[in-house]
Amino acid sequence: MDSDVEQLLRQGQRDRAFERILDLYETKVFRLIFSLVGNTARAEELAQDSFVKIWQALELFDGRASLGTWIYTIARNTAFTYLRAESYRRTVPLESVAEPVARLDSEDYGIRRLVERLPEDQRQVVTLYCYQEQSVEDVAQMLDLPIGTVKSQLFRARRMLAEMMKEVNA
Amino acid sequence: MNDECSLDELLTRAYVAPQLGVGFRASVRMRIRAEKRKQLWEMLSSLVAPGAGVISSGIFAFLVPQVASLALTLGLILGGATYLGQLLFIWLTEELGES
Repeated sequence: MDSDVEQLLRQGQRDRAFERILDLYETKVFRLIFSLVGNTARAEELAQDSFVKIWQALELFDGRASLGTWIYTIARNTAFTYLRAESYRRTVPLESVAEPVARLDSEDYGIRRLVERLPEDQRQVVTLYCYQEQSVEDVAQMLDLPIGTVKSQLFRARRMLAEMMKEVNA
Repeated sequence: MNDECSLDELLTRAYVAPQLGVGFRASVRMRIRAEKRKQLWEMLSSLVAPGAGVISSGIFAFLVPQVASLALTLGLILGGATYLGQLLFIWLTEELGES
């Protein structure tokens, strides 16, 4: 729990606090970054960068924002910095955009292609919602959005997906 | 409602959460250790100049009243040598930081 980490920090046990942070957040940070960059190896590398930054800044954490919000902000900024640098550096070849998926039967592939046609903010909410076992609260904290906004984006995304599916099936 | 359920099922099946590699945590720990070493070297580096200043001031405060010309010559030689030493130290620090 976040309160354990804050207590360890108050006691000056930075290394133990950091280990606890890894226990609590390594998977979530990785999934958040993956939802932004769409590549497993790159997401893992950026998650490592994020945790090094978290370690460096840990002494400055003052508890004004919740620990989770603070950690996700560092992770998002790390991913955005990478994405900005990448967009200046080169255009991504089309075949490297899509990750090889674990299950690629035609139905799964079809829905993924439809999700890719959603607006960026809705696409991210939908993918994180699936990765986080349909927890709206988790998604809201990861993206620093109000829960109501996440719910409305999910609602709009579902409606758009349903319409697109109708068009495809017609 | 059924449509919504089946859509959620479809999404859940299509978007399987990616898994972290087994070496992730070990890599993070390794990078943190490197970061700690770098911080230690940076701290030592920032102590070298004032430390050397204090020691040399003490030595020359003792020597100048007794052998002024020798002390001033020594001062010039030591000043040059410590400047070169500091350059070498900073270079080594940067090399270690990058490795």
